[in-house]
Amino acid sequence: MSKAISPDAGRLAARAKRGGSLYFRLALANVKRSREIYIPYFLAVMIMTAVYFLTLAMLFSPGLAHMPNGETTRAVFTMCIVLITLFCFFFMLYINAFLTKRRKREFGLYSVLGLSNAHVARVLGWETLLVIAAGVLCGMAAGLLLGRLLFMLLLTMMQAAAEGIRFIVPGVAFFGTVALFFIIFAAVYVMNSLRIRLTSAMDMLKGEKAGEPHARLLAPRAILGVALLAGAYSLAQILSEVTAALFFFPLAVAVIIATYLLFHAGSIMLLRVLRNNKRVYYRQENFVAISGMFHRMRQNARGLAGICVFCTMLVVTVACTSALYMGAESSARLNMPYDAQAVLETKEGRPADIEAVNTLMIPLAARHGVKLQPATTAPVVEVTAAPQPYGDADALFSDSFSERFTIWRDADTYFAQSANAILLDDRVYFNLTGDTEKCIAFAKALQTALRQNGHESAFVTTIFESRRENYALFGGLLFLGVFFAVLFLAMAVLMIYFKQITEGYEDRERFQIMQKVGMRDDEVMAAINRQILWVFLLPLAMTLCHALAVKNMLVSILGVFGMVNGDIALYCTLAACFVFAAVYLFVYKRTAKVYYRITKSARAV
Amino acid sequence: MELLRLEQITRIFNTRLGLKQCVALKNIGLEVGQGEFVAIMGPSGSGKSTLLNIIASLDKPTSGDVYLQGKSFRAIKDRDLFAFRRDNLGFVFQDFNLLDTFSLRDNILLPLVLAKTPPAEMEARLEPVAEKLDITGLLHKFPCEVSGGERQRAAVGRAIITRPKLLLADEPTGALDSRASARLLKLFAALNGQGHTLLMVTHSALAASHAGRVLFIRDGMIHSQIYRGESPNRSFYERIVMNLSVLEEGGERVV
Repeated sequence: MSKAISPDAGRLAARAKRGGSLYFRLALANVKRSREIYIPYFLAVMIMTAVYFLTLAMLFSPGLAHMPNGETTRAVFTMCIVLITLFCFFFMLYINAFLTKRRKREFGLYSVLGLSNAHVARVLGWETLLVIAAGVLCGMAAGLLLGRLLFMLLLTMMQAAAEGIRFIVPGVAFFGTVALFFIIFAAVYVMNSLRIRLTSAMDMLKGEKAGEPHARLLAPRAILGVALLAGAYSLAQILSEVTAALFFFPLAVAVIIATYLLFHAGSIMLLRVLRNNKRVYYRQENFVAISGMFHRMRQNARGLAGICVFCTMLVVTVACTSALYMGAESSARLNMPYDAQAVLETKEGRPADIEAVNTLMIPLAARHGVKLQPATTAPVVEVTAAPQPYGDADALFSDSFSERFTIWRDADTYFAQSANAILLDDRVYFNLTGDTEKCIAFAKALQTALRQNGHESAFVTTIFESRRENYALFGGLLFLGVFFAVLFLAMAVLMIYFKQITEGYEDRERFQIMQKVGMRDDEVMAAINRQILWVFLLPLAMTLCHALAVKNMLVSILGVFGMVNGDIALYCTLAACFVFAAVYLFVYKRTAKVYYRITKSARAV
Repeated sequence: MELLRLEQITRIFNTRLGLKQCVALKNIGLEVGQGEFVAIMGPSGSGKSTLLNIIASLDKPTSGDVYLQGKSFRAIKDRDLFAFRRDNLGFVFQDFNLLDTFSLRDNILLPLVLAKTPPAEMEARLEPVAEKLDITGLLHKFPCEVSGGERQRAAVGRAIITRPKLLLADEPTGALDSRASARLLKLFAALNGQGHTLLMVTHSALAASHAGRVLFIRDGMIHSQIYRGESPNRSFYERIVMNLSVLEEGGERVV
């Protein structure tokens, strides 16, 4: 038993039978006593509440509609709300099952003390209510505090002006959050009551010790897992841009199923092989570790696969959104080799009237307060597949234009360069510096001026507009990506924490037994350390493996968004993997401390 | 031949604040010969478990010393104590203390693995032990899959596979039904017959009646001890019960 029931718990239990309000006090005492379990539970509720609350608040915030690309962002948020709702619901049930399984024995003891199953269910109900209510309150408070900050961050990332857009928390956010968690509480309560009512006191006292049924059909399942994963990986390598988007969801599902199969059937198969090899198995350093892993994998495969899937989503989301954001500039440049371009009508294969553009733009630029930059400093003209200007041009071409311009011709392509602009066939390119809004206004004015001066179908476009659009879209996506990464990470951390605690309590007994049998303290520590490390490294390794395997596919999918720079996607994936691995190991170290604290009490002989 | 000797063992526990002292054992002296089967009896709180823990080197006496084949426990370094325990002592506990992650086979082999015995020798040792304990057919099962009596026999297997000099049992029948208890005690007697030295703490007069000598402890001191001599189990049992009632009533020593 983890911790003996405190003396007054017994007394309270006896009194609770008589007076109703004492259920509450008993529950309160239990919550205080089981801090180690209830604090993370509370944190889980709080984080989920805050995330849910914030997402609702953003979705229904009147400001969202006024933002550039507000509708796209709103659609993404709506999809997220659905996902988070489902996620919160099932995750809470998962944590709850975890907790009650651990406390089975304690409930059995209450029955022995004379509380009926219905009474125990009521005490547990109060406990859950207390913790969930506290979590929801704190979560909403945190949401209110963080909300404004996050909203500002969102605007900054989208590079949108914050004027006139304010963050107001709509009432529906409060209502929706409370409603969701009330439903979750009700579901948890019903499940716990059923579970308690269906088990007898004796079963509960035996509690955690019950063995697990042997897994069947391991080999076929393991093979299926390997085949699925291999198929998904190799498909991810060969898909083109169009098919990648199409196959993304089936592939994701295949990878998730394969992950589960491999963690469960695959790991057990592997351990079985190891165990059957006497030379390997019956060595002190492997003996305890292999059997411990075997035991642990049967119990934890699902949880570990879950952690792995979460983490993969996290890495992929962060990699994609940050790649898009980082690539916002380059995808804007894709269509705009120079800051601005004027497209003019041409006659009979003649080049555009660079003279007109040049004459008009100089006074306009001065009037709008923008500076024209020498076009030669602009990126490259090769992007547009033009010939080298001073390379193998075959003829010097000069006719109606002013002497100031030398126009080069290479086959059917015309090319010219002035101090401010570059001519390429029907386009005139030039570079600008200055305030974004001023540059856009200047481009509009130039277009009007050109149309008034005989170029009726002239079009002047600037990179500043595409940039603004890109940052609105990709900034919003990156914000969401990071938002969800934090959510996924928080959930993964909580799952790890709960695992450490349960395993700590289980291992405490094993520690004691092994020491009695004559295993040295540090030997026990080393053995258990190793197996825990493995259990934690496995999801990490698999996550990195998944992320790197699908990176080609990500590049293809990002191409649909106009991301052509594959290197950025690759570096973002690597960076996301690296950051994630660092955070994961840090969390592992921290939670391992809790584990050591729990088992430490057993180590002192 | 003397195997185990206790000299002037005193064990004093300090309460948490160190204000009060609790004397668990007072000047206990005891000698156990090679091949003996000794039972230790006494009411709850008499100090018998403390005594067993000290003999098992799990606890250290406040004063006095324990000698196994003339070797002083105090002379053994803390670091070497685990190996010493593994090589010289075998334990059987009331709640079996089998590891639920190991099959019965692996539970029995655990001390040999810790002692880095080659696998071939492990197998060679395991076979006769399993046969003796009648658990050969159960070796592949896990503790949660077998009965309490079978678990306890596996625990005995784990205790004797290292061929310990001394086998220590703490309430070995405490968690068993009467049939499983009888079977286990018969096994102990048989092991004793094969030359094993046994020391068993028990509450049960019936269990103690299988021993060759019974030691009664009260309030941290040896109150009395009786030898079986040539008497059969039945009459030895009656003598134990009589002695127990004297012990409970607080009578004087009848050595």
